Amino acid sequence: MSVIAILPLPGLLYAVVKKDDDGNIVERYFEGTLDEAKEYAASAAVTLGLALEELGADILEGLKSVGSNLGNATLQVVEYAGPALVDGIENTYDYIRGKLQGREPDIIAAITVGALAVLAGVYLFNAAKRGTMTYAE
Amino acid sequence: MALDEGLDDALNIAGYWTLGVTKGFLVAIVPIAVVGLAFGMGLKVVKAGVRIGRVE
Repeated sequence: MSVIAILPLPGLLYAVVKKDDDGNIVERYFEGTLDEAKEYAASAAVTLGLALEELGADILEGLKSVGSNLGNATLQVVEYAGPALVDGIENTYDYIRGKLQGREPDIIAAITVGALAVLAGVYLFNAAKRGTMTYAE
Repeated sequence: MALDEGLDDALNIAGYWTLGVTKGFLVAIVPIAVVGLAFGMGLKVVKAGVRIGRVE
């Protein structure tokens, strides 16, 4: 991390410089009296502060934009989820209906076979529990 | 006419159910009868075995 510093020079002069981590002077901004150097450093600090403030505002604006876009996208998902679900159910119904159309008696026959099989199974199970095929009087 | 279409639909549905239930019954009755007879015969055999093996 670099540091801005006021450095005394020979002859009552001062310089505003940038130093690196090792203390080496990387860049020399200004030379003049102490008051001028202070004024320069102060104005540089103000300029830096303004730049940082602007950067913060930009970041805030960007975050607001992201949040807004995300909110809009979420609202769109919620808005279109219902119709999409209804369309999906309708398409599924149409597909199944198309597949089964013309074979209604077979489907009803299959349902009947299943029902009779279940009834017969329950009856035989109960008969086995009673030990007789007919109900006791 | 809508009424005629509705009547046609009702007759169609009645036909589907009549045919379907009849077909299902005919398909299922033979296996059910066979299984029932086998079950009844098994029950008789078990009862006879119990009677023969009973100690008075």
